[in-house]
Amino acid sequence: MNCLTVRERLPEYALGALPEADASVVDRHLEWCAACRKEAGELQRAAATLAYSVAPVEPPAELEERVVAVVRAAAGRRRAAAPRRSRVAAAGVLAAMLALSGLGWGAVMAGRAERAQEQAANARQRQQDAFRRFEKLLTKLPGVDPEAIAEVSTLLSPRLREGRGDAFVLLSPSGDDLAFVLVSGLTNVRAGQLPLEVRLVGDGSRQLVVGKIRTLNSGGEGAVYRPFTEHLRGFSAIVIRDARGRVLLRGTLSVYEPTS
Amino acid sequence: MDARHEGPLLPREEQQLMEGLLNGDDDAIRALYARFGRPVYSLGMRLLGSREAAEELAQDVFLTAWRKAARFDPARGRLSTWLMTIAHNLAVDRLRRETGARRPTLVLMDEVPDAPGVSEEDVVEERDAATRALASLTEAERRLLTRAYFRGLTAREISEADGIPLGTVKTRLRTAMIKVRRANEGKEIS
Repeated sequence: MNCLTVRERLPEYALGALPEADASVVDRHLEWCAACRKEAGELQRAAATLAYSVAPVEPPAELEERVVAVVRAAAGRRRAAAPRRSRVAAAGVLAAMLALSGLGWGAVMAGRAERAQEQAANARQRQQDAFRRFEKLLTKLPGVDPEAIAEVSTLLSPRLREGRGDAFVLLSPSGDDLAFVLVSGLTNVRAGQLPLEVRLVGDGSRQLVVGKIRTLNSGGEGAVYRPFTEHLRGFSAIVIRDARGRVLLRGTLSVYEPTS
Repeated sequence: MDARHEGPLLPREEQQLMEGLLNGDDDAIRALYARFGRPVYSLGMRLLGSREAAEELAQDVFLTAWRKAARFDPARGRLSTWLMTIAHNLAVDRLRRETGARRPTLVLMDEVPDAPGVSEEDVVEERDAATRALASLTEAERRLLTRAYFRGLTAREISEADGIPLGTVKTRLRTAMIKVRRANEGKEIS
């Protein structure tokens, strides 16, 4: 579905009146299209205004206590379960990452590929496939909070030169948050440019280091992973710089909704 | 932070409030309820028609807000929009599930001149925007938006029920939404 088709559907989408199948297609488009996402956001704000247009009715006085009790009880249950779930989630995510990232394949393939370009293309395809598998598996892992939110980003070179990357950020209400970044095709990066520093970037000057990629294999592949005890909510982008501070890759995070 | 102060919340305060909600903090839950309890309950009463259903909706809305609190990002929109979108979705989902149930006639704010006065400072702006939005719509546009937004009817369902082309319904919905959006402009904190 292209932008024109999506824009036609946005009023109904904002009103919650789009058939579910169409709404899912729009959701997927909005994941990567910032312009349509902005338009959708404005229409959703307008639609929410309608919710305030109903004639007000005074709620019964005891309703506040019931609301407080039901939320407090749910939060208490989650707190009791959180430490165990957090550890399981972190272990599961790490295992999935190692199993699926495809790192190490590059070295095997290197001897067979005749040209660096071919190696980079192979690496890119493997990582894209691995990343999709990783995304799907992650949401099904035991111990991952079902309410966890995944954010993803495709990282591109600002100068459209070489290399790409994928970033995955998991926001967990009950356990550790985590960030996972894969790069590939950085075959022209020289030893003097390493390590590469991966940062989460938020509003204003807010930044957080995810980690450093100290080595790249022959396909220009590398990865970094880090669990965080602090919340990663509010970070909107990932930036990767070389040791000289030059931006190699960057991308904007958006909420990931699994399609299957 | 005292989230019970008067006036709209700043994005930073909204975020703090949601972090408090996520932790099940008593003050945060009460502050949130103080601001949005009545609009949510009103939506439940007007759409679902019974005190029992409206109370259930209110509890579900705040529980869902707690579950999704980690998703809330003040950079992407205001808390009032986010919370009322949750309320609307839950209410319309219930309407769609209970297709046989008798529903009340929808009563909008400008149809009840002696409705209880507005006391939630944070939603004064939203109420004002809603008043402007209703005033900007023709009677036909108002009926159309009401059926789509409050009854959850798709453009195709409206088209078939009224015997008018689907494209015409979509165009009219878009026109009406543009008017509502204009009425809404200037409400957001920049």
